Amino acid sequence: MMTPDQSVVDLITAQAATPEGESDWTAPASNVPLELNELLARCLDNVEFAQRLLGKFADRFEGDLETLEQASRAGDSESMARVAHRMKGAAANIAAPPLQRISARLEEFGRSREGAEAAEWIERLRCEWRRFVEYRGTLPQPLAAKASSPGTDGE
Amino acid sequence: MRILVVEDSEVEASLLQYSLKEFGYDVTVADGGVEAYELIRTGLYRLVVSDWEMPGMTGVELCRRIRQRRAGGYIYIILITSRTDAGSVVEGLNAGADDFISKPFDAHELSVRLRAAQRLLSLESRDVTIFSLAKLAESRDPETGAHLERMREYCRILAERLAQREKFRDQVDGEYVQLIYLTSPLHDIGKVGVPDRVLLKPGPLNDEEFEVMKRHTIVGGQTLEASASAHPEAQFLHMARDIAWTHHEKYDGSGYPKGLAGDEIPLCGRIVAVADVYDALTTKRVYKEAFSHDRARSIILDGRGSHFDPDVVEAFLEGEPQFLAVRERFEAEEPPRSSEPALPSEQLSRPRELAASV
Repeated sequence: MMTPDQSVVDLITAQAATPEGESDWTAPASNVPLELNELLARCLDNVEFAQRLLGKFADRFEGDLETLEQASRAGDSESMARVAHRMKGAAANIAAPPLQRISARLEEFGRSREGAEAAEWIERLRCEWRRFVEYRGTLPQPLAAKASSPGTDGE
Repeated sequence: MRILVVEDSEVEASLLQYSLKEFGYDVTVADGGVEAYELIRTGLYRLVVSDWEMPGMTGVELCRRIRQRRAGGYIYIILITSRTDAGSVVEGLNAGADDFISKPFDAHELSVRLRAAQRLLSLESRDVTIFSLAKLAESRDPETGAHLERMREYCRILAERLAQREKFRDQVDGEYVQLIYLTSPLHDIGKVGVPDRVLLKPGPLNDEEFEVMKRHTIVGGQTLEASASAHPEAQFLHMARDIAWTHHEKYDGSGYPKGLAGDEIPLCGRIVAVADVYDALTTKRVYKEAFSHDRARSIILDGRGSHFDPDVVEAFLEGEPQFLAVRERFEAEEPPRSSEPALPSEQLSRPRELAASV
């Protein structure tokens, strides 16, 4: 039986060796839903903390996605830009490049008040979010999504 | 050390908090600029790491509010931002930010930048402590006003002038100028050992009282010698010691406490001698009125080669406009100039004797 850390190491090795996946919405380069080695580096190689951080991210991103959709429907560009900015930052911090790129695009739409195109990109973001969730489900414990586990992230 | 993290994103705040705690910092998180500013007002935080874009009060606005405060010591502010264009950098620096880190942040880069911040803050603590000690030593004498503030400006001017001369180029560099600015206020720290009956006497000192007063050079020099010996790496202590010991020595060897002459007197002592006498002459004291710049100039010129190092007098002459500018800046604390009696230069060594000749 593999230890959690060893399974993570194996996964990182496997991820580096296999071709990146495809997406209808994003450029081929750097299309992995989650750059696991980068996330672990940010978490100073603390796998448990990385897992808790992913949990916080997941909880928040889902809520922000709904807020984004509401703002788009209401034509509230300012709120859209603000929420998309936050989502972009969070995705960058947990090393989810596709989510980061699409959120960045939505932030631009919000700032330039190009609401018409925003709806399509919000749909892209939701698709990419589903892809992220699925991908996270394939990760070994302790990084896979757990039913519920409030964390104490060094606080 | 305490750090205040200002970040409205839960994910980023968690990551920052975790990383900084791993690096040994005591971390508090504020979820926006408004909460952060209230925490700043507690006076507990000298280091702030803040996001730029936040609802309510942005990181840049927080910078401005912090810099507008006059209370407390310096607060080092690092902004975390994805903005890398020159305009944003200028905006952040204008608002008072000290450094930037790009998003997403690299934990090790942040750690290195925070260590640099701590070094800067430790220097500020040292400078504040030194000046506070000097002010404490002066505090018993209500006449001195902004004497220390003017003194260090005069010493800086003299040192900068000397730095331009070939003879002193090796010795007087930028660091020397900074050190003398920092340590010249400590020249009279030995006065803590002078009793009130002598220090605060409104009239001329008799011989016995003058001997007591002269001991302030020995007390100050010995005290700083002990500190300098304990901390040989602390250059500022060595200069402070030299200044305390020698600022009443005279170029011709007729000064005190040791009767050093010429180059036996450290340059810093020779510089402070001119600055100290100039300030004593041009400000009102309990034993004399303030003299004009021209009168003080005349007295200093009379003392060239006897009391004062000719090179330092030359530097004084070159720096006269700057001396006058310093006087003007502090003029609000100075009384009007008086009429100008004749004063033999030997009375410079016993300034209270000036009162008898007015």
